[in-house]
Amino acid sequence: MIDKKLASDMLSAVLKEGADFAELFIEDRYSANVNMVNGDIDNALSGKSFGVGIRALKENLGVYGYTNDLSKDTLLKVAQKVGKATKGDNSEQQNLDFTDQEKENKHFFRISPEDVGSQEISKLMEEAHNGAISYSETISQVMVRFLSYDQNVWIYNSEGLATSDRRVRTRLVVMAVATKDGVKETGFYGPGAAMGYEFFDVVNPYDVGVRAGRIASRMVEADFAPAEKMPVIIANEFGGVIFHEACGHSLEATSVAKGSSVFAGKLGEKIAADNVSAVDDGTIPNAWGSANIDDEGNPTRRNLLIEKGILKGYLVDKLNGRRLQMKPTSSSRRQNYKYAPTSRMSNTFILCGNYYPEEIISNTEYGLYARSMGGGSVVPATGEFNFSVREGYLIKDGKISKPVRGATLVGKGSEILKKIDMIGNDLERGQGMCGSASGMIPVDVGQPTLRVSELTVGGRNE
Amino acid sequence: MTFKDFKNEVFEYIKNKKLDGAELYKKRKIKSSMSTFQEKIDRFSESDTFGISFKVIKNKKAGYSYTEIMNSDSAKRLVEDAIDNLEITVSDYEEELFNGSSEYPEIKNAYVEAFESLTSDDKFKKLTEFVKGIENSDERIVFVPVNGVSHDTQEIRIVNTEGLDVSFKHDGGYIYAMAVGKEGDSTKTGVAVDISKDPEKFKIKKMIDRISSDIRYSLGAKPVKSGKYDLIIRNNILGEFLLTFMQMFSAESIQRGFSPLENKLNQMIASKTVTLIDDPLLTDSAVSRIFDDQGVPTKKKTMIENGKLTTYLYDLRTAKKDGVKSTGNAIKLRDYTDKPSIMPFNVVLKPGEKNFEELVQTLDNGIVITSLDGLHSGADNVTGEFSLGASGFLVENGKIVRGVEEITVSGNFLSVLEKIDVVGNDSVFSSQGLLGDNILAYVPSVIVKNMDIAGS
Repeated sequence: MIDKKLASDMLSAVLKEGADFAELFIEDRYSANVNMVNGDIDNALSGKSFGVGIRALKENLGVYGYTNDLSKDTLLKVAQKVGKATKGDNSEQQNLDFTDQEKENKHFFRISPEDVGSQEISKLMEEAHNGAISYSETISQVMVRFLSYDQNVWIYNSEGLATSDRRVRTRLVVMAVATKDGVKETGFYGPGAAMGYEFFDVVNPYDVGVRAGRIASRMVEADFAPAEKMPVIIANEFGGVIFHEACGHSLEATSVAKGSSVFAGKLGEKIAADNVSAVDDGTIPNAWGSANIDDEGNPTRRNLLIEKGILKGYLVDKLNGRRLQMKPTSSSRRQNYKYAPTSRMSNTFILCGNYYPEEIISNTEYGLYARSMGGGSVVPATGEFNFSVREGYLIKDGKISKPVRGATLVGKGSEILKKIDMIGNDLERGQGMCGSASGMIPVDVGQPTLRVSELTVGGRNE
Repeated sequence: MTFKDFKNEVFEYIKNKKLDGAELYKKRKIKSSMSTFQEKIDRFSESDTFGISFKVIKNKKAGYSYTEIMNSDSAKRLVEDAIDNLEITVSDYEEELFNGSSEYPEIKNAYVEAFESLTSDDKFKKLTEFVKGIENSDERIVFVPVNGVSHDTQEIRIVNTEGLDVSFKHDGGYIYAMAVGKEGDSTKTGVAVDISKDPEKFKIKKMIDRISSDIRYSLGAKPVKSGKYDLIIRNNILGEFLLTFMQMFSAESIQRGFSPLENKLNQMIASKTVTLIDDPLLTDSAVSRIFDDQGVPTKKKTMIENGKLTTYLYDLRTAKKDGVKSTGNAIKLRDYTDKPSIMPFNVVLKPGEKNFEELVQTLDNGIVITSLDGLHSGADNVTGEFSLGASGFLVENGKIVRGVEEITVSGNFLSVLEKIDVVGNDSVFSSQGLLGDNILAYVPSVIVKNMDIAGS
């Protein structure tokens, strides 16, 4: 292990070479991953990763080095190398004194992944499999994935910060395939939380399977979605991926600081319809995207992003904060020690409006109801986005009519936000993995059911 | 503790565990990357890490574990974890270890050290030249917020109780940039990436031209009317698109019923112009390898020959099931901890005669697709269905006339293969981010007839 003395020596070695800030990130992680295919466990993998990341800042330059060779010599050498790369002037360094940060754990867990028997996991996964396979005769294949990890991090920096966090997370993912007349469609559901194995006291694995089975079997019966512009109602929970992709990424300081975001320089300006307010909240107890501290060691918080359509804030990390001359917002995250941290989302969602979801549907003469969303992507500089609709229905005369498959939603973030004309009162969050500059991290997306007055639906003209 | 001592400790510890075999896989990765902003270094990263993955075999079943710590405790934990994982595994596959071969192919210049001889000043200079070249190429280009050069050296060693002990070292790198152009209300980006084993071989001029002309054409882009269009899918995008669907060729996908290529062997699945090859020994490719991640020798193979599906890709266990030999396509896609997937190393589409300009003339009327979004979500490997956001250029009477944005291309991967009408000769390397950096495509641009486009 790396004690405080060695941590201090490493940070001093970085500063001595002329860096104006040095930071140490130590990570010890145990992960367990189990895959079940068609009812049999095909693959189970577990193991430990351990490594150290050393970061130096000098003005607007960020240097990062990492290793998992933990000999004192190597660690000091890496520290020196990282410091040298800042090309600063040598300076005499005093030993650093650390003040232990006061901490309050908001994310209690009961059962660590290391203490769960593999037999128990396999039983649980079988239930999830059964939920999907018994939903309909059209379900032809089912894949179930169980993943959990126990991550311990220690963070020291040259401002005297010494802190640590333990993050335990558990997730169950079911993918079902339905086949009919040679056509195949997939359904997916994957709830997760910052909890241990006790997650399954609140989430029933059988129900997770049922939901994936439902999507696949409904979609395999569906016709292709038409390709045209129309009103789109996006359901709550994972529907929030649209905000995450189309807006959230463009509010990360990573893209704002360099002026490459459509929302750069727009603080205080109106960027969304009056009814839209949104936050990024890393403090929600046991939420999938939560933690006690961010990966720069700052206690997490609830950041207001948009209030009644006005842009109120960005997600800022230390380095990009220097460029923007803004204080960090506790939004610095990374996949593991192999990545330098940068501004990322945690649990990001649009706040409730006044409508019952049923009202929104009954007020829509013709349109698409996107009941479950798949993933999507966005080009931050232009805000152009693309989402797949996993489970869609056509709305006719204010009623949900037939299911449609193969729909995608295409548009620009800045435009869609202004076209949200009805927001429901049924806020829910869904879980996902978000990939960006600092790797894949767990995030919650969320929103109430809402309507976009007009959006391009990519489908098929036959 | 050295790897040798660690290996001895692990193999000693398993002796009374009644196992049928065990295998250690070690990967060391030395990596360096740099990016600039406003003519200064903006990010710089260096690393040297290793990871050890472990596999045990008992009663023809396999169990896996991994570690990044080499000491006695972790050796024991590694073994215990792998055995625990083996106990719950139920598989209709018979797992086995490879005992080595006397016939490993050769790759000239697998480890060329061209990047390692560059100082950080050299890299900075190269990158700055590139970025300035882009900025000066067109006054509408405002800046280049994203750019970088990155390279790594990988050392793989596989040792098992069957007597296999092989190692291989290779290196390579890439340079990339994304520029932003503005004109009136329109903001557009242009992206280029070049992958090479030698930084001197980066086609900087070509990349600058591509970014510059992409931005020029796409500023003021508009959607097109929904309907059927003939398309050119440009080289690098075709590469990403093909890689996305390569899992279909995996014998595992076939055997499990997750591939539309089931029962299609020796049948026509593509137009006659399509010959698709996996060449793990391709010269100048940064991912070429002489053995796969199970230690099996790699070899060049034709997957589609003039439209006909000629082989699936195999690892050891899927080969055993079909009573054939492994094709040497077991690849840990992203990380050393991954269970090997069955994938091609270098997907090569046999080039035709026409260069890009000639393809545009041949297309006559249609759309050049220069970017596809949503490959990770809007493309389904199991069915081949896709529906992807796209942008590019409109072609009228054999000439590019304007940019096209906010459109969706949809269809089925196999029907795209059938509709490939002309194959160009402008092959480039490309990778698909989600599939890691251990597999590449080397393909030219193609003309695909009669595709569904959703626009305005």
